[in-house]
Amino acid sequence: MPYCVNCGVELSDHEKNCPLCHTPVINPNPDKSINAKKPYPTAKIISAQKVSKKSIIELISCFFAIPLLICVACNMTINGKITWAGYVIGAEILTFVVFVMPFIITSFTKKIAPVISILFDFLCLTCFLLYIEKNSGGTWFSGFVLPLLMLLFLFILVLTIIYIIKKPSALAVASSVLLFSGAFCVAIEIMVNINFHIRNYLIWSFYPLITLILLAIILIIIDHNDVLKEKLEKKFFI
Amino acid sequence: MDKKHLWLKLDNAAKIYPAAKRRTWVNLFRLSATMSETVDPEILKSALKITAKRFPYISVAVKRGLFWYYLEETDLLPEPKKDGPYPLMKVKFREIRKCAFRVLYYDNRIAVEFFHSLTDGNGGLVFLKTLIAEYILQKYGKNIECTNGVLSRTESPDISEIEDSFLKYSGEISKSRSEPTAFKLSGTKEENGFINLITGIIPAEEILTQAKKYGVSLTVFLVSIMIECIIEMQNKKIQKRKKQRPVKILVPVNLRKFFPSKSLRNFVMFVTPGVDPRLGDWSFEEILNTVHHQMGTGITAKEMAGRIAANVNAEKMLLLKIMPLFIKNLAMKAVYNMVGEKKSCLAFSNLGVVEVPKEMIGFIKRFDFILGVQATTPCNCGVLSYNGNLYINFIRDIKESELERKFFTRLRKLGIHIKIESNQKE
Repeated sequence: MPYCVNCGVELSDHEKNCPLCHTPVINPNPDKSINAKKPYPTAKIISAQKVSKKSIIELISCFFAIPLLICVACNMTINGKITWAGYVIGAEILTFVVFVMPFIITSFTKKIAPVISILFDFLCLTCFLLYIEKNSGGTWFSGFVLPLLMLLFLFILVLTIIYIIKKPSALAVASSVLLFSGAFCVAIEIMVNINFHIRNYLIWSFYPLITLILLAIILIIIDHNDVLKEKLEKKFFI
Repeated sequence: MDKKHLWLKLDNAAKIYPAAKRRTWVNLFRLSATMSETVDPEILKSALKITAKRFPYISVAVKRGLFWYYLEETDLLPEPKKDGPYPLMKVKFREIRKCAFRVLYYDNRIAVEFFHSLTDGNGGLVFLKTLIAEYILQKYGKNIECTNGVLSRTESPDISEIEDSFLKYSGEISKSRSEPTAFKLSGTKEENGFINLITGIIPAEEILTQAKKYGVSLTVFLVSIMIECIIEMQNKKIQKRKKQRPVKILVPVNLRKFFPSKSLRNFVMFVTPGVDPRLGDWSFEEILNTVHHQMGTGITAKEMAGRIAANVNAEKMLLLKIMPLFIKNLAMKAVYNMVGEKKSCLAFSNLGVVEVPKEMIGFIKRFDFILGVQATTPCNCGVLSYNGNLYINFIRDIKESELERKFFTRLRKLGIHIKIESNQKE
């Protein structure tokens, strides 16, 4: 019949520490406590077994290989060379780089993984589009797509770096995305005008620009007002 | 021919629980009986099969309608399972939709864990006692007289057992439900959802003597001690008196004592006695006095009828009724999050003295009543007394045992003998 020397309460025979104050039990007659039954089975500290990242990546890579190899095989046997399968290969590589590569990169470096992934994505997408242009005999890549692509990825890159370093709020990120989207629309229209000689002035891109700027302002206002933010969170949580 | 399954609308109190559920939390409570010998799971299983037929309103699954959840009798009875390292282990709502209660055993103990939409502590106790009577009959061949909450398994259920007594005894005028927000207990969450249980076993006589000394009931006495402990905790946490919050305890009230209901579904209301520490320092006698009177004025048939009316009238609103369930869930969950657990620090539910037919006493060593933790309230407290002992079960999903320590050492200082038992990790 042990007692806690600190709390003065009687303790069940199985207790090794006082459940109330965690003082170790001093039991001059320990024989009884060895056989004492606990009211609940001993808690096993179960850390859930996790499937390793490596095995998942291997699995996904194999899945990717199925359509890839089939297409190449078909193309080779029917046409004797790679023609349309080239697009499939490109699209497959792009998908792989966008969705699977980040996980591979994170296993090497955690901190700058997003930056590296984005650079890879940019590189891969550029190459793929270039390949499509060359194969389909277009002239839209260097003058139209490349500058826009560079602009887009530059923004994503800067935003990611800022996010990693400064950890801005979700609303701040959202508002900057909205602002950029507005500006991006204008950039698209300018590039369309220059490359395809549609007209010399801007028309449609102002509509999204104005809307998106106003939406961004709304988000900035909410972001700076904690009371309002909490209120909206309470009202609209799911 | 297929048997026609009983189905029931959720009673007034039950409606909030399916809506309030979270991914990691469902409102459960547990009743257990510790037998004199090790439990035989096979016999328990067969006893459960027979008992469940007698309680078609408890052996149910929670189903979704277009506008409301409802209960439907289920044939998928839960297999009695061995207890885990802690009571009231997390249950997925998917399970509740198959069967909304479960039976567990460990060593000498038989436990039933109920989803709160099925019934309250009193209804649950009738189920447990009947289950045990059937278990004793099958294991020892001893027939237990059907009194003191043991029901006959050969009878079919009476219609009065399934009535929604809230609707029947609702008053005409609804009392306001608004209350100030109470102080919130908090702490460091346990890892992996572990739940700590500390049981204080106290000779009922000793504590009754103390309560009588102050001229109050046992519940008032224990609630007052709890309030005193929480005031101390708040003083430590929030030094500025102006910023403190009222300390209130949610005390469920068994309405069957006030209304002639035989329902075995939910029929409880609650009162939240407490003190406002902003008004000044409260001596123990002052706390006792105010709690005693708050409970005295709060717990009357008329007051309760008014409180029921407030809930029932809210349920009768046409706009709420015709809302599709998923929208209703959002609305009810929002209300629950904003109001539900904020009006009290924790619940202190006293089931009172558990009486069993006298032949059963030799077979049962003790009973326990364990409330689940709430979604955001880390502690809860279930109490009952059986065979001269009071069993106070404190449950918590945080690491700190400050409240329990304060509570039990306070009783200890009054010279009351306390035995502590827990499921703490080693």
